[in-house]
This record gives sequence, structure tokens and C-alpha cells, in this order.
Amino acid sequence: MDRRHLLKVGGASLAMTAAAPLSLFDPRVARAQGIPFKVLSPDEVTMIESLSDALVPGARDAGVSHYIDHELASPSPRLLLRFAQLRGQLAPYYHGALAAFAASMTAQGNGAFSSLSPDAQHTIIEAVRTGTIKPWNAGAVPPPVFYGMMRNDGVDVVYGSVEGFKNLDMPYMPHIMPKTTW
Amino acid sequence: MANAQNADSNTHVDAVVVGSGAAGALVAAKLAAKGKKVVILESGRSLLPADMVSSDIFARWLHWGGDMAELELASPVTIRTYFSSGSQTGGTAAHHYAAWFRLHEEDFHMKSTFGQGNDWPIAYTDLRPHYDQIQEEVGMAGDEKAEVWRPPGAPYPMPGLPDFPAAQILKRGFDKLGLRTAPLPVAINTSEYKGRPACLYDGWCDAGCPIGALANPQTIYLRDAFTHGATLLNNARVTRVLTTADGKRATGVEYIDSKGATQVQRADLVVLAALTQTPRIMFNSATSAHPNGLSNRNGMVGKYITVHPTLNVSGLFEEETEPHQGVSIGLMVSQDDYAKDPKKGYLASYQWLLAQAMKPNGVTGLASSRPDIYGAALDPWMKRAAKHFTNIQMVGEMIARPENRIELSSDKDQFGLPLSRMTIAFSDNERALYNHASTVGKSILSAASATEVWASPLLNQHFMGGTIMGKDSGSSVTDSYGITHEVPNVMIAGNTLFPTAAGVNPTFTTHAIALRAVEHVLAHWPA
Repeated sequence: MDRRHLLKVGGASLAMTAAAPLSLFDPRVARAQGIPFKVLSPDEVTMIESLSDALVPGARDAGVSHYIDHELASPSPRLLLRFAQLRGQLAPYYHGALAAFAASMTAQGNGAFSSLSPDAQHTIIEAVRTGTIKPWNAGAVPPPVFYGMMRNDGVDVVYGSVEGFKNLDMPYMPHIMPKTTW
Repeated sequence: MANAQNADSNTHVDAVVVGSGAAGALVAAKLAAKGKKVVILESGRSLLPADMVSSDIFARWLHWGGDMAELELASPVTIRTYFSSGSQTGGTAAHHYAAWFRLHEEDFHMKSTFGQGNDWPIAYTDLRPHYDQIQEEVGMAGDEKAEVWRPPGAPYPMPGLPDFPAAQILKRGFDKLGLRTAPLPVAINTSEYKGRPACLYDGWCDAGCPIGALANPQTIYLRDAFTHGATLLNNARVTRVLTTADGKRATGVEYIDSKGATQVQRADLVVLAALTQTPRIMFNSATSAHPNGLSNRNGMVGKYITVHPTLNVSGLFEEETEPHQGVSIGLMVSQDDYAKDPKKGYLASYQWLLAQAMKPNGVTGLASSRPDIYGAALDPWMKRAAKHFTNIQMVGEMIARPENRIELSSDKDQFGLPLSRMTIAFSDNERALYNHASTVGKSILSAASATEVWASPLLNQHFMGGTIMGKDSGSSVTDSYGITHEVPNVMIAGNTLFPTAAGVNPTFTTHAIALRAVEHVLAHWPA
């Protein structure tokens, strides 16, 4: 019995209304096509791409900014931050953390994160990861949470897709293959 | 679709069931099978098996979060529950991993034996026939002889899960330390069962199981309910239970439909099976006859929330572990250290689950197991882990305490009703359990010849308590059947009834107590 037949058996036995179809959004394609952002500002996009790419090489080209923007614009974002169980919408937490990071970089006398040497970037990332970066706006999520946001979202677009599995030589083995890259 | 049309809010039904998860689906199915007219109100969207896309990112939609979920957490926040809940057809059980364990006899007598937590108003012998019946109806896979710790019960109808390489490797460590293992008992088909196919072992259980090998509500009891004429309404958020002026009988429920309109569903029996929302609905049902909320004269609604303290001990091995294969919950179990004994330095039961199928991303994914690795080191590590990683997971017991509770928040939802606020924290007892298990778990993986071993922080899973059952009407919310002490035609079903958490995954017991309850209700109809 093949998968297609199994799905037919499993799905045909119920009589319920169908869910809304999955979005066909593809962040890599969206980036390549220069799809306009709905939630993130140009400065935020630049910061996300440089930071997430430093954490998860390949995240920039995989469209991490478009992925975050697309999810933040939805009523139920699937970003891993949803499990932090924060109050209200997720977008303000991204705006706040990115602003806190930018302000800290400025206060430390640094230029843009992307302009730093790999060693300097590593030092900054370690300070964020361990929560020792100073200063940090207390109104934003703690630095380690921000580290997790940037890393997790990068992991999603680089390793969570069918292509990402393939790069790991890990069989995807789907019941129902995602229509998008994940 | 025959069973999904809009309900006429003016039509009186025999029973309205709030929530379409594990408990609600079972109760609806059994009531409908006896000819009762049943309406199920589900606050979440529709979810068909054919909608269950194999993707971790998709699967997050099945867990609570987004615009539907607001459960305020009191600071400091150390326990989070969104991953262990869900809002769609099938509720939380739409994404459950189907580890189905029976409670042990000792789990029912925590208070009388140790002076901690609560007692259940029933014993194992009360639930055994219901475990056995559900096991036969749903189909379970396991090896009752190898599972030497299992309380008495019928043999599993299907053989146990296969031992893929990760399980074989981990078993080596347990064997060396003299710890016994057995195939993990699951509500997942290892062979065709009642027309449902066998599992493909692709590890996508978290995204639901579109082929029906895993016993999601969509696959078993919701289908039964529909077969017998029950009706399901999605996007129907119940706001309160309606009662007579004297508060002695429920007359139905009020809910907000998908268009934002207020509707009323009249019914002879109201079944609350809405997990974290059940206490909230009861609080919001306050009237002059129930000033503290429905059936809450004793102030017990919302009390004794518990979760399962959880620890993952992971390792890398020289051999290929094929971590992508299997099922999300794991392939084997060990309960050799389950007995509760304060002399251990903590009071709790716990078990180990071995060899959980892994994906690269997500809460339970490879990358999340080592959040400290990033940059140029990440890709080589991910490639190594994709071939050589495996883990064991401790599922432990949290002592039930009244201060771990749900109350109403000062914040309100879009319809003006107060949201929930949860106060919950682990105690030194759970931290001592974690420390013990962390040491033992690392020893097991080292004995299995892992080249690297590491342990997660103290995590949590599952949600229980909040409307506990009990013998004493002064210290519980319901009797042993889930019938509320003050309103006899309001029945609560689901995990919120658990007076204690025990040290095993809850869903089999959720089904067993719901089956026992609905049989009682049918035998004494009208409620």
C-alpha cells in the first residue's frame, strides 16, 4: 500500500470541513524576487540577515528576513518564539529586541554588526547568548531569548526545509509533502 | 459536509460537548452511539487528516499560540504550556505522540501514603476494564511481558514497536546498568488494525497522522461520533455555562461563533472538555447562585495544576543511529525507578523514554538540543547529529499543590471576557528529581558508549489538574465521574480532572476516566 493510497484511506473516512490551505509563501523565492516587507523595516531586515547568517550560515540567502516578516504578519505566527508564551502579538518583541541590539551596538561604539570582523562578531554573539551584553534595554526580551530567536529562525529556513534535510542527508519521509520549501 | 453544518442555536440537544480533544471526542462518540443528540463545540479551526502536512513549522500551528491563545503566566516564568495544548479539531490530541501508559496502583494514593498531593477517588481496579476496552477499541502496540512494571491488564492487540538502531544502541546502556527496557506502549499501529494501516515510522507524529496509524481523535472517536450523528462546530468559543435561576441545573452554553455572534446551545448535559479553558469557562459562568464561578463554592476551581517535569539526555555515537526513523515519542521505555520513595531524596515517579525520532529544527529538533552551537561550527555538528544522535527522555512527576493554579486575569479577550492567569512553579522536590535523573541519564548514555553526552535544563510537558476529582466535595471540583459537586448535569472530562500527575504520559488515562464517566452518565440518564 503506497502513501498516496494510505492518505486517501485516512482522509476519506471523515466528514469535516477542510482547513484553510497552507500558504504558498517561499522565503528564498521571496527574497530573490524582492517581495516588499510588511512588518520589518529596512534596518531591521539588514540586522536580521547579518546576525542570523552569522549564527546559521546560509540563513540570509534562505530568506530568513522574509520568513520572519511573513510569519509576523500572520495572526498565528509559527516562529518558535510562540512557545515562549509571551503576551500579545509577537511583532513588538522582534521590534523591541532588534532596537535593543542596535542601541547596544551603538553604545558600545560599534558600527553595523555586518561590518565587524568575524572575531568581533563572535564576541558580540557570545555576549548576547550569555546575557552579558551591555547595555540592554530592559523592556526588550532578555538577550539570550533574542539569541534564540535569531538562531531558531535561521535554523528553520536553512535546515527545516526539504532542501535542508537533503543537505543533511536526512530522509524527509513525508506523509504529505509541504507545498512550500518546508 | 454532513457533520459540519451550522447548528441551530435554538435546537435543544441531549448533550453539548465543549472541546473536541481526546476526552471530548470519546464522550461524544459514546453518547451518540446510544442515540443521544450531540453537538461538539470546538474553539479552534477545522483540521482534517488530509491537512496534516509533514513539517515541523506546519506542526506548530497545531500547538497553542497566536491569536487564539492567551494564558497569562505569573512571574517568574519557568513553566510554559503552549507546546502541550492545542486548538483545532482533535484539540491537543491532534498532535499527541500516543504514548499510552496505565497509571500504577501507587499513583492513586499519593496523599494517604505520603501525605503529599492528593488521592484519586478511585483505584486501579476501577479503571482497568476501561483501559482494556479502549485498548481493544483503539488498538495498541506493546509487549506486556517485557513491560514488567505494567499493572494487570489485557495483552496488547499488536506487537511492540520495532527496535531501530537508536533503540538498540541505547538499550546497551540500560543493560549494562541492569535496567530493564520494553517496547514503548503506543496507540500507534504496528500492523493493520480495524482497517487502519500500520505506521510508516517516519517520525512526523507531531504534525498529526494523516494515514490514521496513530490514534488522533480524528481517526478514532470523532469518526465514531460522526458516524452516529454527532455534529461538530469549529471556531465556536464557549464563554460560559448557562444555569437555571437557582443555579442547580445547567441549561446549555453560550458561545461566540465564527462570525463573532453570540449563540446559545441548549442541552440536557453539558460536558466541559476544554483543558486549560475549562477553569476559565467555569469562572466566567459566575451568577448570583454561583458567585465564585460555576460549582466553586469551595474555591477549588483552578487549583492543583500540574505538569510533567522533563529532562532530555542526549548523545552522539560512533555508529549510525538513524535518528530520523521511528515515532516522535520513542521506541522503548524503562520504568525500573518508578516507585515513589522519599528516601530517594525526592518524592516522585519517573520513567525513561528511549530513541525519539528527530527532525533538524523545532522545539524538539537536533538544533535545539545544542543551542550553544552556532556559526561555522553549526553545519558540521548538524551533519554529524543527523547520523549519530539519539536521546532518552525522563518523564517525571510533579507533586500537586493548590498554589499552582489558574485564576482569571485582569486582561480581557476581544469579546470582553477575562482571560486566564496561571501561577505555577517547580519546587525543590522536582529539582531534586531532575538532578537525580540527570546523573542517571548521563550514566546510561555513557554506558551505551556515547562519545558525547549532555543534558537539557529542567523542562516540562503535559497539562493536568485545575478541576480535580475527589471523594470529598469540600476539597475537589467533581466526583470520580467528573460530575461537578453543585450542578449534576455538568460533567468535566479530560486531564483537568487529574488529582495528581503520576510519572507517565496522561492520554490513556484521559480516555479511561472519560469512558468510565460516560458509561455512568448513560446508566443514570438524564443526568
